[in-house]
Amino acid sequence: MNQIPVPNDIPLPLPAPEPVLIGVLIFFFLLHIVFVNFMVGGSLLTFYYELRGLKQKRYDRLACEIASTITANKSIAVVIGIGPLLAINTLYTVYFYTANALTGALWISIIPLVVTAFVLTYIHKYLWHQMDWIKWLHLGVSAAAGLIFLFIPLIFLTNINLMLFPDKWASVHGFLSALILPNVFPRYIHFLLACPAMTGLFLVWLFRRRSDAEIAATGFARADLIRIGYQWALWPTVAQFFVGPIALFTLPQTQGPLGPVIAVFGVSILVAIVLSILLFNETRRPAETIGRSFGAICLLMLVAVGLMGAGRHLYREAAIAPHREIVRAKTLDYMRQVEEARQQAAVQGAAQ
Amino acid sequence: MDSLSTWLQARPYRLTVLNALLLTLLLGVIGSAPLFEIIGGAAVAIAGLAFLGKAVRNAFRWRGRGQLYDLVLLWAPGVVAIILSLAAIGLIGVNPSGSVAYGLGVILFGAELAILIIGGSDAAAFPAFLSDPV
Amino acid sequence: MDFPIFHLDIFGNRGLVATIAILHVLVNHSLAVGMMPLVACMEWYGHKRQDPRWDKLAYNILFVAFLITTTVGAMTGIGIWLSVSLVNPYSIGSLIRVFFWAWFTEWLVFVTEVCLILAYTLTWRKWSEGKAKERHIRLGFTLGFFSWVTMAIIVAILGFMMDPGNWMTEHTLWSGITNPIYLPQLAFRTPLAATMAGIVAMFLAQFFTSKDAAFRNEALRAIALWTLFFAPFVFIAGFWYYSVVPDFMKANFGVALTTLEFTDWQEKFLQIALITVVAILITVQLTIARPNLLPRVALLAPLFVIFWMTGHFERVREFVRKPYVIGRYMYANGFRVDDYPLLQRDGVLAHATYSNPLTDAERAGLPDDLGEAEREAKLEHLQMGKDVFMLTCSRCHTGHGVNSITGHLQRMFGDQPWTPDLTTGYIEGMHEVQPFMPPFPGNKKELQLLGEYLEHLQKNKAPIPGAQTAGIIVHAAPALRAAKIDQSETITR
Repeated sequence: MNQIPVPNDIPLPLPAPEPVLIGVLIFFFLLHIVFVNFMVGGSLLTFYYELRGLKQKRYDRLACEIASTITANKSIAVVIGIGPLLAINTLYTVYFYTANALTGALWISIIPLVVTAFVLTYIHKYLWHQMDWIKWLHLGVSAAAGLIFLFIPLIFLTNINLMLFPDKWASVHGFLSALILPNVFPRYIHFLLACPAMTGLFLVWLFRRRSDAEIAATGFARADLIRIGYQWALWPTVAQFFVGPIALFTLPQTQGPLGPVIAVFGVSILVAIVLSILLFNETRRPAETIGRSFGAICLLMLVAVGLMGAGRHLYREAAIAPHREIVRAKTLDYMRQVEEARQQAAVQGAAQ
Repeated sequence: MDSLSTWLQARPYRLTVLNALLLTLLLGVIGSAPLFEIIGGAAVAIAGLAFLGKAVRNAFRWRGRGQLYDLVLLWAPGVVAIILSLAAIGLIGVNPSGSVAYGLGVILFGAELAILIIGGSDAAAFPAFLSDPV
Repeated sequence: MDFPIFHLDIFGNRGLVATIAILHVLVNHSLAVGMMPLVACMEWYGHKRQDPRWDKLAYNILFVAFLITTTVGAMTGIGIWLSVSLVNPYSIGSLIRVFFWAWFTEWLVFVTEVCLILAYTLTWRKWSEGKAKERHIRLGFTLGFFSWVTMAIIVAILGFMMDPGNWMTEHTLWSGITNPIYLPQLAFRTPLAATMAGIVAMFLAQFFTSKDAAFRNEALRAIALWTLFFAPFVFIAGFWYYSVVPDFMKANFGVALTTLEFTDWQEKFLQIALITVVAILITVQLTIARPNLLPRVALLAPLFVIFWMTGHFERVREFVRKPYVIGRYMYANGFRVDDYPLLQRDGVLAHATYSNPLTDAERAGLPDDLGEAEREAKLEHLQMGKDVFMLTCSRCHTGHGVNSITGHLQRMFGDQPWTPDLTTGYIEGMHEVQPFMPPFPGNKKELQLLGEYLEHLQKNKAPIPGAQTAGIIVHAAPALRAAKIDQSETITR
């Protein structure tokens, strides 16, 4: 009995014009996801360099440097996420809460999982030198935190994917069955690649502004550190040229038109090509000129990310706008019946 | 027993505090609110006046040389203890014997009377007690 | 409530929200709102006296607060959103339509607070001399102020969420502030937070100054004085809140009788508050008089008592709302007051899109010697009865866990069979006997079906799963389904 549910919506008006709420949703969500990229990417890069640091000590110092940034980035990521949560609750109440309820066990476990990941990250950062003699354990803590950071986005992705397909709601039995719905995994890989890429740019920014003394303490030259950042930004972005289109073309069919969606993503691919060329050039530049294009790169990344946010929203609308209309009509009808019954009861009450 | 009496005699107020606690226990067990008010009130009055006298004398001796924080440390323990011991008597007077509030009142009274007596001794020795307590 | 029904049958749905929310309150009162001003004062004092020991102690305490508030504190705050959305989406969905901008404002203040605490903690070592140090101290006091502001805003939101008068007429932040409960509640929480922070700081100070007995005593004394200053206000404001609430409640209910249970709870709250304040006062005074005598363990008792009191306070605050979740607009079961005439006529099932699939244990509960058609009909009845239970009762009651419906039935009716004849009469009128229970929102036929399901629960002790594990069945035409109730007969056992 896989019928498409048409539930009643909350019969109250939106607190602001819909475009305003959508603006809040998209803008703050993108900000949130950028800091999440920094947090997850930072965790992964820290682990990678600490591993390399087993052979060369200076990589261990680099890992420590990167680890120290996670503290601030994680707190900002979490707090910025509340705004979009409020907005999506308001705009897509029926869809979002339904997906939450259907995956409720894992949804609420986000809380203890993130707390654990954060605690592990603190242990990893603040007991770095005290754990020098049990490096394997130290790496284990980093790995554990990293694994949790890799898992949590899956919970979010599963939810925001499930919410778009009311025809799938009846067939879901808990988180795992929702996880394997299309196209969670391609989107997940797309997100995963973005993490080291964005973190790479973050590292470029970081190492450009550190003082000479701080740079010297790492054991690397400033240009080398900047180049490392650019390399992390470049190669995952190149991989996105394969993963991105896969994610785009495995998106499930929707009732609404997908033309605008593909157009927007198409433009973002063009922007990304220019971005990648600039990144590639930067990695080839010598110490005197490296960093020249950083402003342009950031701007292009901003445009690309903005376009992704818009495309993502257009896809969401294509998927559920028709259904929202049906729900709206049903809710109006329900309210009419409520009013009718109320008046009937009032008449009967007066008559008694 | 010997070590107990040695300990009690080591500081002047210890015996007084022990007596005060025994008195509180007795009054609490008897359970008569008017009795508690009269005798408890008298105990607070005596200990309170002793504290106030010593505190005033000490404040006079140290005037101009103490900082605000030190003055608060001189006065606060005793003043608060006087207020709270009177509040405890209030609790006892209003509530029936055996109730939670009554029991709390008895405990509070005992503690505040003890603190008031210690406070008086400290006020006399101020500021020595800050570095050489007990 | 037209959502798939998330349900925790052992722990209870209310327990999920309560655990997360109370944990959040305990952390943010004791380690953020109350602690930040205290730490800033300690830093300031250390700088004034040019005593680095105070600075070190302040930093160490701040660091512990930082670790806990940025992990457990922040995530339980979000956890409140996530859990309330799971447990009662219709209420939070409605509230957010009306109070979106209030929560948005609060969020912006939170963002500021997070940035400030990151800055305050992470620049302590760097901004340690001269002008930078003075800037750092000012940052600390700013942080303390902003922490308090977030509490002031959320208390206003809580206030107008509970006040029925404000719901549809004036839903502004200002109406929340002018709510009669607002000032007493804020006046209660502020010294409570300061006192909690003082106790926690005394506890931590013992560890951080264990090597320097003289400084340890000085630090304990000073923090104890801070706590002593705020403790009486906890009781005074608690009493103020206690005196304001009953009038507010009478206006809320428009019912003459104040329930015995509520009065009992209020008395209990006052008792716990009294015990708490006495415990704190005695401990704190002893700390001032003889800090060296204070064992580390001694502070755990007042801390525990404070936590107990805070938890109980939150419980009483929530209780004031019943039977509503939004005063006079929506009952705790997620149905609006206005919905009732329609639903009590047509039944809740006529407007319910989702069904909760029967479990194996429920299917197995039927006798084996039934014919095919009869079995199908019985299962259909059981399904509908279960759906009525989940829709109208499950937000507050479990099947066999905390606050279980079977527990209540056992208490009221004992071991005799819980036939519909026995139970439905009570359920129909229970909102008159127990004013914190909402009226039954379904029609007479559904009452009967509910009774049959409850009878089934007497034998079937298996927990009832929620949509998060069992999934849902979708009814595209609920009205047709409800019409079937009229066609089938009630089958007796």
